[in-house]
Amino acid sequence: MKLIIYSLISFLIFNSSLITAFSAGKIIFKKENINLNSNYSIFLSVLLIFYFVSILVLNLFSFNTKYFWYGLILLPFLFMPFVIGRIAKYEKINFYMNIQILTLVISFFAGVLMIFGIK
Amino acid sequence: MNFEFKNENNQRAVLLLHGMTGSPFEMKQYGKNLHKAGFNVYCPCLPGHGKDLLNVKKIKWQDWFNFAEEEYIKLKQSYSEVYLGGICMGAVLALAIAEKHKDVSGIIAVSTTLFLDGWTIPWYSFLFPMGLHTILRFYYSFPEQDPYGIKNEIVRRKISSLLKENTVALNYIPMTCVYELLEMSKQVRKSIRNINQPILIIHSNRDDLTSLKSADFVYRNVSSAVKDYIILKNSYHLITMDNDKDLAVQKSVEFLNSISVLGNSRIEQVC
Repeated sequence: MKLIIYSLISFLIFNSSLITAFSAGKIIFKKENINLNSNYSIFLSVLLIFYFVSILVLNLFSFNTKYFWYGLILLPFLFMPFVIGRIAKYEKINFYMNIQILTLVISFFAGVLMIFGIK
Repeated sequence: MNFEFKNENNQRAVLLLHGMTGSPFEMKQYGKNLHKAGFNVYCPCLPGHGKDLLNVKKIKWQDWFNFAEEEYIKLKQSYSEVYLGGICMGAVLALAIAEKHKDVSGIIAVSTTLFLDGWTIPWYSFLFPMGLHTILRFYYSFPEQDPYGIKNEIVRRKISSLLKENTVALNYIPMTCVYELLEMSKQVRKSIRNINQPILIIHSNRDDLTSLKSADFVYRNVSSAVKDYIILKNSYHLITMDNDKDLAVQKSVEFLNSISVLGNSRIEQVC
């Protein structure tokens, strides 16, 4: 049980970091500074990896428990950045960036509800 | 940016395709030498490149393919033998066109970039899937760094100064370009066995952007009865501007003359 809570907390931490970082990215990327944009993209990539890992870890710990569906609910959010990346177009990049942030916000609230559910 | 070198009463043409974020400039000397050897040479600027360079992020690989294919079809209406030559992404494009058009007379693939695994690829390349397949690819760019694909230091200095002005090429490679190139490479790899035209593969064993793996892959998988593979040792990625440029021209001319049905209309020493 504790492991599920810890993995949910880590998921929420990385999720909220990503929401903040993507939101800040909307301002940073506007400056069109190649080096800054590249370094910031690498930073976001690292955060995304931690986000993915936290979802996978949650699935691992909740597997074979009555909370296994928590992991299943969050699993689609693992693929969302790739789905959005696949369909995104440069001309509408702000729109897709907002969609990306929105999916993160939704998964964040799902995670919060799960923690309350466990308690 | 585009260039054309024509000979009168000659039915042999070569369509040259430049590389990713580059321009016809990188093929100009090579094209001139092919012209001297008796070929009509055409090198158009690909969509998103040249004056349009900053719009390259909006371009899909299909745009490059459709444009190059149209150029090929136009040439085919005027010449009985049309060869394709390309460097880097241009080589991948040439392969893609040859897969579709069986009437391509021959292919010269220089520094074919099917895989990005050269020695200047950054250490953090393990993060590439995150950058390539998410919206981050629209923001991430590789800064073009020394050696700029060139081993010859004099040429490298010249290119370095030109890159600062973003005139002949971008001084960074947008991840969107890499994404489109890799998507196109995937398609080419899938149907590479459909290529049965004569092919000359030229690659450097010190290529900084793509290792010999790409050239080996092409050589092993094309169904061509005539295939030559030349490994150069004194150049990096931009062979057509580097130390081995004369050798590349010499081998290309020998290859083209050897497969030409029309024969040598005019043979000159070019090197």
